[in-house]
Amino acid sequence: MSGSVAVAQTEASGGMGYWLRQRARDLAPFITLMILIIFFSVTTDSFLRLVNLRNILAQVSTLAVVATGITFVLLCGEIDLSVAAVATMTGVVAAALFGDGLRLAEWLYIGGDWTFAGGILAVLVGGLFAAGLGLLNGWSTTNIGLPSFMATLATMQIATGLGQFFTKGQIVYTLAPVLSFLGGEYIGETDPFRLPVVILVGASALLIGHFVLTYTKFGRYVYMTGSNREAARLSGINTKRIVASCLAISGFSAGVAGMLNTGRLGSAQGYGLEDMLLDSISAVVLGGTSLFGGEGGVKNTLVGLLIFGVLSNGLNQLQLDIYVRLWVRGIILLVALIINIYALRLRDRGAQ
Amino acid sequence: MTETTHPILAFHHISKRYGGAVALSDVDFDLQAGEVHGLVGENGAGKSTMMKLLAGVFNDYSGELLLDGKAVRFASPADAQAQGIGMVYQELSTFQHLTVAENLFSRKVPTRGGLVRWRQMNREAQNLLHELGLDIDVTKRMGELSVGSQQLVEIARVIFSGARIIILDEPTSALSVPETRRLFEFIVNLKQQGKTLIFISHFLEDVLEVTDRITVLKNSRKVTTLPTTEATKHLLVELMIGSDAKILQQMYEEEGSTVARQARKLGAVALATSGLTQPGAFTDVNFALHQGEILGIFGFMGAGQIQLARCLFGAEQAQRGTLALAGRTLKLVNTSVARDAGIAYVPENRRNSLMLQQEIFKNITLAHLGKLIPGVLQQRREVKIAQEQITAVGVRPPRPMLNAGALSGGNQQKVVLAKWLTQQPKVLILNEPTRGMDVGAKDEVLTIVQSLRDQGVAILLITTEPETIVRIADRSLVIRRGAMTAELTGAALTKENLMRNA
Repeated sequence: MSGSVAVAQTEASGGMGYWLRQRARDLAPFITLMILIIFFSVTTDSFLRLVNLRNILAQVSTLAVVATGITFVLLCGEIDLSVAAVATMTGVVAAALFGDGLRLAEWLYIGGDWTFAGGILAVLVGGLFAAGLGLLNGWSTTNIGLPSFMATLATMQIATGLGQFFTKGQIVYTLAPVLSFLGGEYIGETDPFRLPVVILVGASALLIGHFVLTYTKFGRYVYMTGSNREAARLSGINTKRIVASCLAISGFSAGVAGMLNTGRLGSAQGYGLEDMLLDSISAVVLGGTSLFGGEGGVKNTLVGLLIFGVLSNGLNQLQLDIYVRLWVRGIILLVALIINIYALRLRDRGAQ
Repeated sequence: MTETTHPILAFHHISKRYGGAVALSDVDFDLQAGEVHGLVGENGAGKSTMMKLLAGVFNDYSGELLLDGKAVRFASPADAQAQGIGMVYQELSTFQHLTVAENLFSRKVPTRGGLVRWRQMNREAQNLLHELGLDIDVTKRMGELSVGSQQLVEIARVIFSGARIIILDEPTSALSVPETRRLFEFIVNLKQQGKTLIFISHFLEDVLEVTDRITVLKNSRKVTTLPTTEATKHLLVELMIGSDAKILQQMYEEEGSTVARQARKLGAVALATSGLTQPGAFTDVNFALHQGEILGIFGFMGAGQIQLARCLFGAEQAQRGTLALAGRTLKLVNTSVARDAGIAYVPENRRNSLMLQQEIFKNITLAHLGKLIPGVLQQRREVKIAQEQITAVGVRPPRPMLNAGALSGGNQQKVVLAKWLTQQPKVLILNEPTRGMDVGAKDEVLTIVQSLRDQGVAILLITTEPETIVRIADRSLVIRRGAMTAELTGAALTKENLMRNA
């Protein structure tokens, strides 16, 4: 689909060179991804195997849900540092609600099996709770005027602290069955290439995010607010509402990711997701979405996630020493970001 | 001042071009030691070029600059400063978070062993201000002071760094009346201490009050230099716009626009304000804008007109007063309310009006996206709508997929107009719609505005360019320091009258 549109654009606006420069933000990450895939395919035997490719997807699926939300926030020119903390706390809250709910039903002698319905309810409330935390971020950013950097930093600490306060370091094992299914089960149990459900969840999040950003007025307003907030406001757009909504969406996706993660692990706890924040932001930025808003999108985030997944997985396949792996990964990420910046400079120079 | 003493500074046949455009043409100018010299002229008359030349911003001019009778050519702004030229710009370049003393010493903070000697610095700074007759606490942060006091500190800093000739660029435009008084007292004080000042301003009363002599520039040339005692506001305006006024007048009479102005029948009131007040910007603004009318608001930069425009679009909330649209009182809590009520707004600055990295079509459909495309966005329909608008307003090149940043200034402005024309607006507020455009683009934009007027749109035309108002407005208000000073209609709507009341 995008192919035919792209051709039309080329014809309308002045040649292949112009088109390539305009797409530099999208092409540079894609080329990085290709290089990584080729590199690991050549250097390891196991990388290109179907099972391994499936594993890569599964590994980035939870991250994909958070990254979708972060994409909204970055596109409108803000940042959300609270995602990992919100994810952790939402996981705990949903598990606690579910467990307490079941115990309450038992105590009240309500007959029947409430596990399924109660699970759904707990997940819904968890989602609302996470969106509420996001909305709180949005409110402090737009109505109070705190920089989102600081507002979400505060939320991060509150959510982290409360998550640990409620669990007191304990692990909750009663999980809503729907979470165990979405986060940890497979479609086609007997098939050798059984498909983890979490991949479908991650893919759905990306698809929904892509649809909203590309085909709805809200999505357009997000891009325009990120491109030039004052101009958007002076075009009659309620930019405060747009920014607050993006932060709420980000909170909600973080909550969903947190609950999925409990499903994957089979338990909820007040720690363990510390890497999620930096991983998700790096994935979005690696894909070419601007930290300053207005440029990029879910397509970029998908590429960024794959770069991230391929890199982590490939370095494992190389069987590098664990102490080497981390800083090598950091250096490769840095190089990828530098390539992105150079691609953009090339475009801007061409535009002059 | 009239006796021929040795001038401290003189221009001899100075000319300067920017590419093909002449900015100064054969200008002679002399500055006597210890005088306050006013420099007046319209926008683009050459004042700022003279100022930049003196500040050492460029040195590729022809002619000769004499300082104390010796020919000089400043190599750089630092060189000009070193030779005793001090600039105080309209946009103050102070460090808001540092103290007054630190600002005064910004380039040579006293230290011992690498550590700042605070007590010595504060004492010296206080003494300096005291000598200049200023009573300002040097330990206060610059940002805590009023704009007027900051300006006085900035002048003191320039003197402290060794300036003998101090150039003040529009020093009163941001000041309240008492602050202006205080500045004038300070200037008199400096004059008594033997300093020489150049006072550049649009505010002719201020120039008349504080200067000894006045030089008038017009079209890059010097018209004359005269003693202030012989000048009046009327004379200065005449010298500034000179025979132009008569030629323009003639032109419009030939076109019959003055006649048309009187003959035009007014529609119903589209937008009315009553007692609109925003402290620090404008006070008690009352006007009624009719359908099918272009109402001008003329004022010099910083007269409060931009804040007024923003309040009329809900981008700012006025503190007092009411606003009615077609007779119904409206509370513009944000810009969405204004847009939905049928108000369109073209900002004074194109950086605030377009997303330059986004396609033209997205810029055009932005304001009324909800009405244009209900439901799911369809790029093909959007592009088609944009294409129609592009044709209607004449954007060149007419390619909706291009980024808005690829267009020239005039064409960008057409895109801004197109954005508001996807739905016929009831009220169109134009803020400096033709600033920085070449003649051709200006004509095109103004023609579009006139045709909208003929379709019954109520248009508020806010500008610092009197020609634009004289050319297309049916009626004009003049704003001066936040207050409406005049309403001009028919034959009285001339450039001269606009400027005299501003």
